[in-house]
Amino acid sequence: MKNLIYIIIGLVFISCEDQFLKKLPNPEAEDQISVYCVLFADQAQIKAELYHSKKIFGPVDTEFEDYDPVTDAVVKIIGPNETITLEYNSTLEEYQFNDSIDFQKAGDTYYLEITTVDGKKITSQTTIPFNTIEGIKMDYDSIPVNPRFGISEMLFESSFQDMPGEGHYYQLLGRYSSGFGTEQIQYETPLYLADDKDRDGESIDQTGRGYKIEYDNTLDFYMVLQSISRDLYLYNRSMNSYANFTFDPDNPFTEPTIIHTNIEGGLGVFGSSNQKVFNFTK
Amino acid sequence: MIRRLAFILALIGSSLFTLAQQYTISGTITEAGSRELLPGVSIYEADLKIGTTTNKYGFYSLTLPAGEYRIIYSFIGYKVDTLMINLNADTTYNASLGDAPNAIGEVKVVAARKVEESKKVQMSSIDIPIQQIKDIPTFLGEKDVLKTIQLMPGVQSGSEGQSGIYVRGGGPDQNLIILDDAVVYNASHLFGFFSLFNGDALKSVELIKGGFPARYGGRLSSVIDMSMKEGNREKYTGELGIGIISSRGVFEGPIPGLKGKGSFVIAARRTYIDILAQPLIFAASGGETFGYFFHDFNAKLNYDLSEKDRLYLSGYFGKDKFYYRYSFDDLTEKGNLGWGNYTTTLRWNRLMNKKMFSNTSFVLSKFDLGINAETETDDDVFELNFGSSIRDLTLKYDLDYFHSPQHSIKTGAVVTYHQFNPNAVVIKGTDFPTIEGDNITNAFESGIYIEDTYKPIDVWKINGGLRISHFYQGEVNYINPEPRLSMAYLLTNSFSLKASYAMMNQYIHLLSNTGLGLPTDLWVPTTNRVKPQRSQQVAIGVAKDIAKGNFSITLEAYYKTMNNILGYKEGSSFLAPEFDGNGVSFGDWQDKVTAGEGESYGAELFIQKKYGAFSGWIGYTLSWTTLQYDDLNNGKPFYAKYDRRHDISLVGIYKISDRVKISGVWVYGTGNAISLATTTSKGVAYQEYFGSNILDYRSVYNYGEKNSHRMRAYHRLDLGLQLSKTTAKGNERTFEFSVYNAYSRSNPFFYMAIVDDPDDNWQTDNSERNLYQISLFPILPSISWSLKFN
Repeated sequence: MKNLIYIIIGLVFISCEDQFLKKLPNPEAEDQISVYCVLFADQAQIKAELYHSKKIFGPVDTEFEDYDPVTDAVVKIIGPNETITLEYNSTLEEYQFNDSIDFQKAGDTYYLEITTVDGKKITSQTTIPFNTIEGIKMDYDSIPVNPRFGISEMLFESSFQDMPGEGHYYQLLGRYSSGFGTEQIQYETPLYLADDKDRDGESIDQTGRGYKIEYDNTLDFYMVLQSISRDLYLYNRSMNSYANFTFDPDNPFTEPTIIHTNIEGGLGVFGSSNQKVFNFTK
Repeated sequence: MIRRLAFILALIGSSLFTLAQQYTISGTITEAGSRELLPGVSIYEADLKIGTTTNKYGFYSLTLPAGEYRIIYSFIGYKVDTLMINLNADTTYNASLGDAPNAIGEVKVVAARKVEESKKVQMSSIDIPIQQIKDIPTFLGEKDVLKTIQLMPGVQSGSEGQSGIYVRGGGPDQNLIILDDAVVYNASHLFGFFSLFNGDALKSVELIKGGFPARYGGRLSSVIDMSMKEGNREKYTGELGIGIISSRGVFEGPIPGLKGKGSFVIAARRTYIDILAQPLIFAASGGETFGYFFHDFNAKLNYDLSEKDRLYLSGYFGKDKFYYRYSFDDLTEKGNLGWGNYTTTLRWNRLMNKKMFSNTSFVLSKFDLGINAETETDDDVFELNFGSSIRDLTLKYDLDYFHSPQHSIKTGAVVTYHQFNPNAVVIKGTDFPTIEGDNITNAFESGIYIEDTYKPIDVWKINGGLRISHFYQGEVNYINPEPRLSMAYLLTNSFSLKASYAMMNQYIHLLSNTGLGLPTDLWVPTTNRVKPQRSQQVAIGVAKDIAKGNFSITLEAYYKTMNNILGYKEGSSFLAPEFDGNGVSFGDWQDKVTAGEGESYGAELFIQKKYGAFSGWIGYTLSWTTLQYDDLNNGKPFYAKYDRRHDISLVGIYKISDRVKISGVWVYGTGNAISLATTTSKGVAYQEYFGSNILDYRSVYNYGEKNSHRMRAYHRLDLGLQLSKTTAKGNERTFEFSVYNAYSRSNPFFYMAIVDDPDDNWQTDNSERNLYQISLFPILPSISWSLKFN
């Protein structure tokens, strides 16, 4: 019996080395190119940003927010009638095409084709949505929150009518001018995003917040309402989720946010938007 | 053969023309020495090979034409009784297995034992002998029912050391865990490392993974039906156990003054690490106090109101608590995290006549979680309390009708009043008004069922049933029919083909950030926005009994779909309060969840030897489980965290002599599916277009597809040794040595990235980020001592 106990105690001590924290082989990761390119109906400019990714495991890059731009790729967008090639602007670190006013049309499908210097192909596609949104309303109420300094909180109520048919995706941005300058209306997430799942044709309402000084009796505000492609919606939604909730990607108990991509052979998004801007004064 | 043919002809004749007189032999089966009622005992006529089994409450009824019969009473682990009887009137026969002959007819004890897996119509079910639960090696000396269930094919264990159960691709909330008709909501102590159930107090454990009989409802993936002992009716007995983290005791016997008409059993456990360590912690920290304990208490009383009526009162009360207290100058901080399950069951069994048996149960069940934190200075006090709970009141009625050996019917109804309070919060402080908020929701869940076990011909057995389930919450009513069907076809006397189908609905959901089944997970009801979960499962299989060696072998394949299963939206958390001008709340939980679908399929092999000097089993599962949510993984299907391609368990118990028993368990499982980011990239968090793009960037982690990486495989060997000695007074002392993880495999609990720097600085150009595996338990030897006294 005594020997048995010695053996057990021996096993405990021998085996505890590296028992709780074990270094594993770092997972393989290849360089991926992240793409951000959004087409806007009836706009003149197209731009695309391409960056190299960074490996997480291995030598630590202390400049972790800096990513190397991809400068030598061939970036083409193939439309229904013509193909354009975007040129790289080294100052802005982006690929551009500045005369596409007749190129980006609602209802048309566009193909992105990127060829890297080592021959790698990256592709995607998007269809620019229509924007026939109606019933746009916007108003606000102000509630004093700090009378001593004359500061009021504003609750912006805005609504619009979902376009007929299913499968529409929206993005809303709002700004207002007050004594604090021009500010962004704060929705629940940085971008207010909505889809028409289970509410086809219904009114889509949302509330945003802002602050103003009491003596600003009149207020200019505007709303940028975009009808966006599904992939851009999913990408922005995942970025919203990432921005709002993912506080520690290394925490194993945090449910990770998977950033949406529709880029074959890379990361990011090739999306499209059809926007309308509405101004209000009260 | 001629006799069987004659019987069949007689049966047909009796049913069609009511020519032959039939009589019923009925009664209860008890364990000799304690008179504990035995469910699942096989009763059959030896020559005709027809029979029945005792129901959950030990009652049986067998109707036969008048004649002479040899009736066998057999139950795993007990000696077989044979009753020779000339059946010419309705007869009551209460058998006592392993006991002396009864007064009726000639009874003889037969050494042979029966294994009848092939005869059961129910497939995907496993009866787990309590003795095997007690005999297999333990984790820190604690006998654990749920960890034994994890060793069964089709059941996955989740993470290292956890008692969470994942059955055929289902989540831990999809298991209907019943203790004496009471639903238990959070069946674990110490964040899942130990199960609630004290093996000393249990009489039977049955696991059902598919082909669910209509009497069960309310969960998608499994039923774990446990019954507590009733208590020895003849003498006082007990057992004391001392382990390295807890001690336990059970005491049972006849209720004094009732002349054998009633009995009781009480069992209790408590950990004592906190008590032992407290003085050391206090001294070493200079005034800090922290600790953890759990305790549980089981009790049951039963009383025979008459020969036909029996009353039971049973309860479970368990509590876990973490606590701390810290003082520095005028600052004092203290708090605790506690959770507990409480169940009480009042049951009335009534033998209505020779063929009908009823049970009426009234059940209270409650699970509470509470978090309290207080900070106090000389002139300021701040207090935060968070709580969540679910409380049930249930009334249940079951009726068993034993029409004939070929035909029996079960029917019944159940109604449950649920009260959910997923997040109640109170914040008090000296400098601001008290803020309170809660979110109580009431709901009614009910069901009616009918279940018919029918044997149209000798080799066919069918259990068909229908359950109508109903759920009411607010202004929403859900009514769903749930058809059930199980069939067995006997190809030979010991080999059968089986098939089953079951539809299940689940009206309550568990929201979990971690997937570990922690007490901080929240139970929430179905609402008008959140639909009931639903599963449909088909299974086919074969069962073979091998008399030589008492082996049974089952091989099953299953396919299961699950709809409306809930998950948190990416990044959402329940423990994130929202403040507004009216106070504080945790928002509407419905905004934070998303519903999806699941699919699971696979095959399970189970080779079992339930008794003999050597007993144990081999279980192997090959399975796939995928989930799909519109709002997760960008709508693409992904593997469930506990999708496990291969799962193996080998369990062996060998009784070397009356004094020495050795045991071993080896398990292997494919690694859990996880999301692991391998690159970061530049993402656009915000974009505006006014003639030009205005972009706001963010560095993002790229995980690829959700759960697209695999952790390392899990495997572990546990060993056990029991040394028993019977004293001169007849008491039995047992020393048990267990070694958990005998070859000290460092199994993965989770993965994380850690920056290593050769100069021990925070990130420099020389630093390297590496992938590490965090493990919990190396080799863990333990010792326990127990004394069983009579």
